[in-house]
Amino acid sequence: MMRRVVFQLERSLRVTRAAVSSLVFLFFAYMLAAVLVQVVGRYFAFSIDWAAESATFAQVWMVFLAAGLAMRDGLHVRVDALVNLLPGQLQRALMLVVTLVCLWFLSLAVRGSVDLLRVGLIETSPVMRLPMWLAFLSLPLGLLYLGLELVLSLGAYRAPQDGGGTTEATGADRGPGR
Amino acid sequence: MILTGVLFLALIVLGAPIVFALGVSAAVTIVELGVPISIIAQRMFAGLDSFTIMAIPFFVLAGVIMERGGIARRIVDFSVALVGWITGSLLLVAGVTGIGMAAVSGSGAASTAAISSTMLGEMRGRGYNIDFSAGLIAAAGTLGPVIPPSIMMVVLATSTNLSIGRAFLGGVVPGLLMAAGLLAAGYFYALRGGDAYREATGFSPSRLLRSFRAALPAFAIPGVVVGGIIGGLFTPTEAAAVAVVIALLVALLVYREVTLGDVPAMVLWAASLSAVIMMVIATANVFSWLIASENVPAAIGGFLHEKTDSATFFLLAMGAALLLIGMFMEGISAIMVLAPVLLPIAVSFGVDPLHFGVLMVMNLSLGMLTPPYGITLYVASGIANRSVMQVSRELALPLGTLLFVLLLTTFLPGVVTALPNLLIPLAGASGS
Repeated sequence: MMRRVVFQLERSLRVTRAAVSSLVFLFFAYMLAAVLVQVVGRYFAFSIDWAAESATFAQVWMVFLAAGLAMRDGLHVRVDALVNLLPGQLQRALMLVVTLVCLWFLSLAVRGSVDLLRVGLIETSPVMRLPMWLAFLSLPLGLLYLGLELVLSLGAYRAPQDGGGTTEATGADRGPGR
Repeated sequence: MILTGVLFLALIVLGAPIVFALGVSAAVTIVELGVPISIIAQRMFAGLDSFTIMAIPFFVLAGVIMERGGIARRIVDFSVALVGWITGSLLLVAGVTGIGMAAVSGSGAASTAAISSTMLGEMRGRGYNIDFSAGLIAAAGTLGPVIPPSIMMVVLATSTNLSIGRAFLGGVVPGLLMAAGLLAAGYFYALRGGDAYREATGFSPSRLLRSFRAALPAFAIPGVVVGGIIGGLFTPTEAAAVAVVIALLVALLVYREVTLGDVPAMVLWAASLSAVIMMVIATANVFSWLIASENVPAAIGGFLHEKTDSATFFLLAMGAALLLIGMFMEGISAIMVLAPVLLPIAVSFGVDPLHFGVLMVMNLSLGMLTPPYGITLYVASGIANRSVMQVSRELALPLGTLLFVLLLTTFLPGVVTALPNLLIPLAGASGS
């Protein structure tokens, strides 16, 4: 019974991550295509106002969704040199407290975005006259997924073993991408 | 507001991701002031609802493509052919490669990782002092944000309404001076070193030409980006998108080290990397709204003017403060929060805003070289398999050199402003 539940949860997590990844790819590809159309369009003088606006909306979606992917990959920048000096038990306790505080912030931001969505039902975008909720919706969805990955990263967290080299190793692991 | 600052620093020290340290400390203050919490969502959205900052994901993607597409090796090959015959050549190669990587990648840690992984093995094999070598490479990594195209400069310009084109150009001369200083430091270190640093192979014009031709497509990127922006052909965002296309074409058709099937993975990786930067921009935008609404710039400016009206004193005090901040904070979030506060104060002291902005970027870049948040130092010592302490001991010469260039740039505004004023005069300012 318990195993079935865990299995189902793991499967829905895989599905969620795959869906988020696909969306992020599509939004990024759209941004690129729209901006290139804009460059070409300027030289052939066809109307391209919609390109910048829709690309910007795609960017907002891309970033809020990819924020969770970055959390999964442990990419969000933090100063761990000082925390790593503490004993393992204390580190874990500290991680828990910090994560709870971060979740509090996310819950505020999500609640605030509900108010924003109400405004978005009436407001439309300046160029394409799209309802703004289409763009605002990225905020609660992306932040909820970020919160999920934040909680999961806590489970995956292992305090580094005592003995040298941990700080440098994390630095090198995270560095190359940035 | 003091509580906000203390809370922010505490969260950073406790190891909270910077994106949350900014968000939490701003949110606590907003709740305390009784401002509707919808301002948090609204400001986060507004921070990303910008066509200009779209240059960032595009530059990141171009960098990822070039990194995986075999670009770093071509730049190293070219640098070896260019300076590989001089005493202490590998140290010089590291410096020259640093310029090249800075010009294509736009971020410090990425350049450092690329140079370290391609060069440190060879340096160790030839018996170079590995700690000094790693330190020099880490120092060369700080060129990334200064030499265009630079993500930090994009953030600086968009958060303060400076022109991106002028900010890019403002970094050129200081960046080259930093590089020249590092080359000189490496050369003098090698002169005093033993036989390990004497080179056997001579200079070969044909090899130089061959490696230059191989690296040429890579250098098309900064050429098109900076040239296109200065010439008014593209906005910075468009130039960055074009850079992605060139990088893709070069990687797929010229170097052929990646295939079309690798593209989705590269796009997703670039999306995650840019989300890290842009989420910081989003939450920093909440933070900076708070700073503006609480009139912090005016308060700090008033406080400083009470003490002195000397521009020199202001620049030195800010320089020291920014170096300290750079040690603890990642550069982009520091620019997001501080540039809108400090630039108007700098102007009130009669300092050119572009000069001050570029100084900020230089100051904060040097912070990447010093613990606790010394990202290029960590990357270089990690790849060298040495502890941060061991490498830090050999850091005095490169760090001192960079500090000297920083001081020079602080007192000679022309180092920053001459080139942008020549190529993009303010009156008909374009490029942003």
